[in-house]
Amino acid sequence: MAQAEAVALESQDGELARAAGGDPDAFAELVRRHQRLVYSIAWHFFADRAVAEDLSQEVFLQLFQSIRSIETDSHLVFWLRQVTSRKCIDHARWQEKRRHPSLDQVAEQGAPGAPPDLLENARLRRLVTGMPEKLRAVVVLRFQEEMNPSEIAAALGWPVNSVKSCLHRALRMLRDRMEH
Amino acid sequence: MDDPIERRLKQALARTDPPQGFAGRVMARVARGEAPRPEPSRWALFGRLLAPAWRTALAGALACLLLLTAGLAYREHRLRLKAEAERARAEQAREELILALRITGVQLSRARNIVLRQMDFRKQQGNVRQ
Repeated sequence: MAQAEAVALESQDGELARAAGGDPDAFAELVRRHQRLVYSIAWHFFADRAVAEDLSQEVFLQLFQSIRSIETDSHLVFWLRQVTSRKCIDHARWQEKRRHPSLDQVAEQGAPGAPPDLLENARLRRLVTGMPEKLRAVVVLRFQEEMNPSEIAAALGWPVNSVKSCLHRALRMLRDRMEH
Repeated sequence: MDDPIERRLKQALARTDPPQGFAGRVMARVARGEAPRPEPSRWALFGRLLAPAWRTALAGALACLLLLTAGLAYREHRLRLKAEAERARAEQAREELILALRITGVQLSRARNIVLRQMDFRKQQGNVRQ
């Protein structure tokens, strides 16, 4: 089992090396392998498919330019989480000045007849997208990517205590709003 | 993650698939040689100020600022020149006053000597008569 995992990791690193060497098929394979990670962060940040797709494409275009600086597959995952979160925070700040609800958000608010669990999840996602961008980033990385506070701190370049404080505030805010 | 809200968050924020053909669209942009958009930064405001619509206003504001600065500097220069001229006049008046006092002192000293000499002469005349 461990041997199979080691072989898989080796083949992923080989793919990375081929992509860095300019092989478009290897790069396309990297995109396919990590598209869920990148797209999901952006989707949970904005609940807007168009914005999520645009930001995700931007992340992969940036990856194409920086691929030679990526050393291993775990470094690639760290890089993707970092760049995606930072792009999301920047975009949220920019969007804050031109605030208008997206069609996806409107559609999600009024989805009648959906099962209660899905409605609850949709409500929770809506509450997450309504939070300040720093809290949103911490919540998405913590619960989507299952990163611990020190990993989040490394990805966002913040002190660990700030991450813990953001997480605490975000959970308290969500609990308050879910109860009312 | 025993907290119910944390369990629900994990469920609600599970990874999701991008729309069909996502990787193909990325690869098409890569093939076209597209570069990612530049990061928005604090220089974006500077960039906006350099946009044609803002250039005239910015040039006007800079010209006003320049005129105001030049006006203030000229006023400061004039005040400094005036103060220097007054100081020079005061210095000259002081020197003239000292000279006048010296001349007066010399004249008074001469007059005193003449009076003393006259008094000595009269004393000697009186002694001769006696």
